[in-house]
Amino acid sequence: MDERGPDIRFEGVTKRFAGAAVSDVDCTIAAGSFVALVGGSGAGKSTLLRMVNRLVEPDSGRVLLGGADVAEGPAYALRRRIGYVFQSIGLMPHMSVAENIALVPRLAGDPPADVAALLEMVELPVVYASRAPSALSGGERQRVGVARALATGARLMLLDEPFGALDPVTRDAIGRRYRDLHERLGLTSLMVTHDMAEALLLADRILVMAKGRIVGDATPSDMLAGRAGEEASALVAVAARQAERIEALKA
Amino acid sequence: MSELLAPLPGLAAHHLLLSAAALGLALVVALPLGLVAARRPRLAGAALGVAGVIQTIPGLALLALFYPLLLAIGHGVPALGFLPAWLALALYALLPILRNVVAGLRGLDPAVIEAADGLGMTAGQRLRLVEAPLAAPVVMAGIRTATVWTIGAATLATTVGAASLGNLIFSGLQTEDWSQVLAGCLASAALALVADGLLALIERGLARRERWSLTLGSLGVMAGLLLACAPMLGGGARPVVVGAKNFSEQFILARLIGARLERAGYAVSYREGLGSAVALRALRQGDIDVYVDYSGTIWADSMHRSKPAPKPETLAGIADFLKPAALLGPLGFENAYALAMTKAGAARHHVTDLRTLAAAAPSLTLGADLEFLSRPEWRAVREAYGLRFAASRAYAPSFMYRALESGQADVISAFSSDGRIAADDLVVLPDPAHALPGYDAILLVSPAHAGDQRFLGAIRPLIGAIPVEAMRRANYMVDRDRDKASPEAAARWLAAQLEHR
Repeated sequence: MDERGPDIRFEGVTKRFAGAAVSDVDCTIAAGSFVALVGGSGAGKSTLLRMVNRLVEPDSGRVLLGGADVAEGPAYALRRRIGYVFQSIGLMPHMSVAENIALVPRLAGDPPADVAALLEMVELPVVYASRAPSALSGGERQRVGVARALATGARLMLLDEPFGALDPVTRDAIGRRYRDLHERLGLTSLMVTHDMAEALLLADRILVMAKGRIVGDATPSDMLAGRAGEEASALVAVAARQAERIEALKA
Repeated sequence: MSELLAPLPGLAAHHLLLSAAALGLALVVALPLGLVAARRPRLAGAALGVAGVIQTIPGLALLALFYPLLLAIGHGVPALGFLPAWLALALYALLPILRNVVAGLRGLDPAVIEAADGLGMTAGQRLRLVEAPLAAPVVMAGIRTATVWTIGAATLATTVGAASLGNLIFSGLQTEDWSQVLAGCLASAALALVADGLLALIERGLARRERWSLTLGSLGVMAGLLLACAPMLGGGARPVVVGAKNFSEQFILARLIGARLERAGYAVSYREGLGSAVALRALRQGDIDVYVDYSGTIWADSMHRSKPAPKPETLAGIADFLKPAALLGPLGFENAYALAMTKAGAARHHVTDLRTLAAAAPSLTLGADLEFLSRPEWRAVREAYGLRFAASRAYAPSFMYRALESGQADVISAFSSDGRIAADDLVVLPDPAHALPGYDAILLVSPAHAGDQRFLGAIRPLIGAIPVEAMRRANYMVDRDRDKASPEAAARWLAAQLEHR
């Protein structure tokens, strides 16, 4: 395994269907970067993300990870090398927390995961290992989801609205914790979110999508300065206005 | 009572094994089909539609349909006994299992399936680690429903010659022996309840991930199946099978034959309640080894002869037709269509036989059973003697005798060995022109025992040994409304009569 996660290259990637289509996206995401994909519903963010681990297959174009086409080899082998965290989490209800975390190494026939270390990484007590997912709160469950994604030693993380269903306090805590892990483990992270504030606070780079295309591409500071095009500015403006109103309430 | 319960364990074992085998087959078909169908809505619609239509066919009809179907296949495929019952019951069990497999898989949380795919499970891993364990409780509920249905419907397997608790119900129904019917019903209900309880334990174990209930339920099911198999493992020699059609006389004669074979050292089992055509075919295929049929039935229904022939010619023709099965000989009585009158009525109208009846008929009323007036026997006798009755009425059999008693009818159609002829003191009118075909009771033996001297020696003393009066009285013991005897008891009484002669 590399020290850092691989880079991701989208080359003329297109997917047509009713709903969130993607049209001819060309883009490179540098190894070790934390990139947020933002945009309204139906903009094609999730579709683009899911083409990386082949939950969606492109109609044309290709996706390269560290220079290798993801379409080579079986999809399951690819997915075991990529961490996948999504909004509805999908913990196995019939398995304990430990079994959930250890699932991917078990599938691949790899040495068993160090569940205690992984629980500690996501700031959960080790005694949770034997609990059932149903005994956990939403935030705790998503921490287990992150631990599960990290268990293979994958250095590429795909996060699809990972914290979208959580309350703001939990969301903030778990987001920051994830950002630390991103740094510490040298991950490449690609995160879909509809929340511009979250993207601004967590990511190194923000891609704005509309109607299946990338319409804005900037760092958070450029984006706040309005140097990333119309759609981006509109989205930033919402977050900024909210912040201003909160400030106004304080005064 | 102990006589009543003696066959119960054996029948319950057969019943259980038949049900288990049918459920096993249904599972083998429904599980993979349901698995595939759960992802293909159109296939699911079609499969559930077909299974649903099968479900609407009455169980008895479904069993009956397999008989001609298997006959058409031929090539030594047995059309009777275990095979048709197994197939029909398996078809019957299909719907609840299939439906719950599809529902169980479709009801899975989509997030869990997305996670399974996203984590990199192969299709097989997803099925084994995620879909199967999560859908298992729902599937198990379907299996429970199917089990209860199958154990209930297996009572009908008796009609196609597979032994089950239905044997008690059908023979009890025929002889109006309600305690026997009740024993069959209660035993089959108990079997269904126990099976349902054990499967409920397994379902609970799967749903709540409780190891103890899973283990307990599985052990119970295994113990039940082992217990049901036990008689087969210990058995050794295959018992000889005595067949019987579905009325009292047949039940009595089967027990009479069975008792003689047991005394000769054979292990005996009974297949009772067989349909008329079914019985002969079962004998020729060796599914049953011996039973009593009637010459006229085989002559007309199996050999398709349109005209009756003299008795020696008929018997010789049948013996030839049956080879390699054997006609051992006539028992000495007939169970034929006949016309009967009260003794007083016959005297009053000066009737002594069918010829003298023709003269008196225009002032008399004929009471007939529901099918006699449309049967060839009636046509033959009417033409031979020029019978013209003032009126003719059709009755259900027991009402026919009451009509004669009360004077609503003067002459009735009767079966010559019917017990009520003796009980009501009736005369059967002789047939000097031999217009009515002979229905001699004849003893038939399967090909396997046709040359078996020990076997034939045990039952040969019955040939020519049963006068019609004795048969009537034995039938009446079973058929009468009060103080009924079991077919076994009537058979013992009949055997004693034969030894006194």
